[in-house]
Amino acid sequence: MKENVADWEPKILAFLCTWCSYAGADLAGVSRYQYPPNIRIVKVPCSGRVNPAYILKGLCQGYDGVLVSGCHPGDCHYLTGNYHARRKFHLLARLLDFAGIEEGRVRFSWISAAEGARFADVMKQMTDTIVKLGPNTQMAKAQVRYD
Amino acid sequence: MTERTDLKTIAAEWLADGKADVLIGWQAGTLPLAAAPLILHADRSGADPAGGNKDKLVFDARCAMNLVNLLHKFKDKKVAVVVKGCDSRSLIGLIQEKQVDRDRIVVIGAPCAGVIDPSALARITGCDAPSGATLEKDQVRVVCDREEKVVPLSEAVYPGCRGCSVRNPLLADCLIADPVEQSAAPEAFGDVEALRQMSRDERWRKFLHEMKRCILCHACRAMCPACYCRECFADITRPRLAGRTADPADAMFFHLLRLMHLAGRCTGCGACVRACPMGVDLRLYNDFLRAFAKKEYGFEAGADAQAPPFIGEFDQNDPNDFTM
Ligand code: SF4
Ligand code: SF4
Ligand code: SF4
Ligand code: FES
Repeated sequence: MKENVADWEPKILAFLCTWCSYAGADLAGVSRYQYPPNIRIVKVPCSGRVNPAYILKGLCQGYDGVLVSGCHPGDCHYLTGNYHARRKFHLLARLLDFAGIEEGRVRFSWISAAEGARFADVMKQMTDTIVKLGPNTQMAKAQVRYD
Repeated sequence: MTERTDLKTIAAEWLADGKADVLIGWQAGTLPLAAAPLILHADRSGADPAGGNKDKLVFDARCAMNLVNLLHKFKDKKVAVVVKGCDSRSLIGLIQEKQVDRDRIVVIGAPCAGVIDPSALARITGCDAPSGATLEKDQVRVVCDREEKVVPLSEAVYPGCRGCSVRNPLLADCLIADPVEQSAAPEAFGDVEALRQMSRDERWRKFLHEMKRCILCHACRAMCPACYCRECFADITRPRLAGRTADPADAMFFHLLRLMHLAGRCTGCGACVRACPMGVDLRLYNDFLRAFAKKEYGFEAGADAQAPPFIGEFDQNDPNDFTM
């Protein structure tokens, strides 16, 4: 499974809510917190905007991990967006688990605009997990192991 | 108590007096032990409002198809539909989602003791293509290689029919037979629990094994009463969202996203399972959804037409333990 690990760099897709986690990323930047450069950020207006299709598509397109991060429950800019999202994400997390997808490929977090350090920390944790898991060979197209 | 009546009598009566413009029921199919839908239109000019065809109406253990799915084809007509216990849950789901107007539908309830599973029958008799078969009151007579085998009906039905707790329709304007005995125990979702106890790798092997066989024919979606979207994500082409190659990743994408759409909506009616030409074990994953909604949120699909939808609703205290 980890044949090409030598020249493999994890690619992680992160959907960040513009009002909180994206601003948290900004703060991490201006505060000069170091975090791994493996994250490709997609700015979304709210975690509620993240269709589970995007997460699954990300895995199929070959991302090694997908992270969704929004405002803390109760702090959504649109009041209830992240509450709606939470139920869907809970289901998706459990469904992927039931299907036997490796634990940690898809993760969810709540990070506020004031949590620059936490942002850097979550990115580190996410990258560490993916490095340990190795390349995504379960759902990436043309990578699925048949055996 | 719901009114008891005879299927053919009530069909003729409702079509004649304008209570229904269309009646959807079953007739004998072209293969042994199979039934096909029968659609009767009211023709008030003639002597026989059901056009003479009402005599073809049947209800027995052959009538597996969930006719509720056909309601989508008659959007602005008054429709009478025959439903088994499990089908009634699909109907309740559609009323709940405002896809069917209760005032437009008259429901003929058919208490059901289970419907025949051809693959179970093949397993028991060791014969895939019987040359003849007859259904009797509580047994099935199958002719294989000129040899006759008798199988008790209770063994020839679908796995879901065996411990079924909704044999009697939850919603009906009349019943065509007396209610039958049904299980009082809540569903145990034994297969889901068993797989959950296994290792992640075993769960993955099972999932991959099923996904490798899927040919993305979308028959499961076509037969599912809950899959009524005018444009399904799997058909979107600008840009194409769901791949349609033989790569199992495409099947995984389709099924995982479809499962996301069916959470709190799939009633476990089994129409998709019966439709699948590849024998993909869709039931296991549907049951996972139903067990999830029930255990984590106390939600049951097709139980209450007034209940708020499962996804699209939230509680401030919903589980949060899956986040980082
Ligand atoms: S997914 Fe299958 S079992 Fe569930 S409602 Fe649709 S057809 Fe019925
Ligand atoms: S799979 Fe989803 S989008 Fe497609 S018809 Fe079913 S519910 Fe609608
Ligand atoms: S009916 Fe079976 S083969 Fe066809 S798309 Fe559904 S699961 Fe796949
Ligand atoms: S605005 Fe940040 S999660 Fe809704």
